[in-house]
Amino acid sequence: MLQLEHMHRIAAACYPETQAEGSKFWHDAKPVKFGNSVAFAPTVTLADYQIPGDSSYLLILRVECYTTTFVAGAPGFGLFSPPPSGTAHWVFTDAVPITDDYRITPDEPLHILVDSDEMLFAKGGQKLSLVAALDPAPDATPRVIRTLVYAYLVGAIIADRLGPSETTYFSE
Amino acid sequence: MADGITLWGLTKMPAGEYVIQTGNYIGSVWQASPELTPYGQGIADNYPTQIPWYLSFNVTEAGTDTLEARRNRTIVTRPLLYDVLILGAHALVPLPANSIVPNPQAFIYLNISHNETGIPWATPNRIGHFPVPAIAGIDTGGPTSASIAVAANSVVRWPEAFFLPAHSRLKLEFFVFGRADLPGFVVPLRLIFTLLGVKLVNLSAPAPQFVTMPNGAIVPVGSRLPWYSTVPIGVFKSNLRSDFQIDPGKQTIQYFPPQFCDVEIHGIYSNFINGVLPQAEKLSLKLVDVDSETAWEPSQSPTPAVFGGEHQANPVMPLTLPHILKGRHRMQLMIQNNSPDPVVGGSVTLVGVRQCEY
Repeated sequence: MLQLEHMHRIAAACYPETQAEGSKFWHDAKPVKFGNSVAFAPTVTLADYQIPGDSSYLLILRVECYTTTFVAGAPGFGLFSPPPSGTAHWVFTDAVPITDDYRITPDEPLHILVDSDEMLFAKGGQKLSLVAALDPAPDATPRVIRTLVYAYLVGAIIADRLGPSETTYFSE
Repeated sequence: MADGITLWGLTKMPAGEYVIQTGNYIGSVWQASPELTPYGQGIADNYPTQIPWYLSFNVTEAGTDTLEARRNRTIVTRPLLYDVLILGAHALVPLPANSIVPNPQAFIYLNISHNETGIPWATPNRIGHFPVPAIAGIDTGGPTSASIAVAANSVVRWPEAFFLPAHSRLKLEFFVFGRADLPGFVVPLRLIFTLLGVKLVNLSAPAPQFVTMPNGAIVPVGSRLPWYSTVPIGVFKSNLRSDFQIDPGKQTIQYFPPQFCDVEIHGIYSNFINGVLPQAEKLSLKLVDVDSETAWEPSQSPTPAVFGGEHQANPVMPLTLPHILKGRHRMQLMIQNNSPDPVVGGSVTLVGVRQCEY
């Protein structure tokens, strides 16, 4: 449902003049889901995706994230818990692994980048990662951090019409 | 041979006659004056006598106060007997041996206005001035222990020639950055500023009122004003207009003030490419023309790919194409600091031509 709603809004936000043009925008957006399940560590990759080389752009619209544990009897067993505290940033990791020069967002408190809506464009052909620096785990129980990204491969015309309104980030 | 082609030191004039190039004629028929813009050339064509012209003046301020309010200097040029077409400027900025600021010239700001119109060349915002290297070539006179010599650009050519009518004056208001929270951040204001141009003499006719542009438009003389729009990079830390910074790992958006008229943006200068931050390549940017649905950058670019600095031959890095910023439109600049250091006092200046009086 969320994907259909996203698709619909992408096409509508391009302000097509005709139904045929709107249909083109609809077909030029391809939903992609990705995300990792990781354990607590100082630095983790919450999600990564190799954007196809011949795709124009990836448009990220929503990032969901939660923490849980499947250790029977452990505190919080099977319960949804909020994302851990720490900082994170989106970064291109294909050229050099996790080099700060290739960040496409600033390094922000985790809640700004996960479990939140997003409107971020990434160029085709890049490997895109959401890298987080986490605070220490709350206890010794093995816990997992699950991240799910709703994104859309879009063509250049869609990107051109939506691009100037891309998200920016601010925190102090 | 086409009209105006130079052959054996002779120039063919519009009436068909050939004249010897004496060097006192800069006109469109000469077709060997690429240094003049069509607007400037159209003005110069009205003057039979044209002489290279330089006007220098000292700008000094002995104080070492960090509070910028006490660190202003206003220079008013003396009225001149003849009309002048000002083409560019040069600034000799001797470096103090003990300066802790590597590039003091990047922290000296300036605004210019013509006393007949009072129109400031800098767009009004919290800074309201632009760095001197955006308008003048910098020569630091030699290296010191704290600084390297800068002489890559002795003269910066302005985006448009400025016609200074006889008996009128230019007002130059200098102001130097200071920071209340960092007393050592003292930039000396000590420079020799030189305006360069062509003195225009025509004893038999008044100054031209209109100029025909290459597209056939007839525009008033004085209608193409140099335009400098400077925004700070980062967040203001106090109520001082010079006290701002962008911290490591942070991103900011800045909006350039809109104009009521179209503006041609020719290039961009930034004072942190060579000065404030040694890792300017770790600052990335996106530029957007907010009111245009297509004018944006799809990927972040390193700042040295887009902005110029005073160590470069072109301190105002030309855009790949002059961008026409429509009236009431705004330019938006996103900057992200991926370096481990803060950028303190960094600013970005769009340089172009205002068309308000068209």
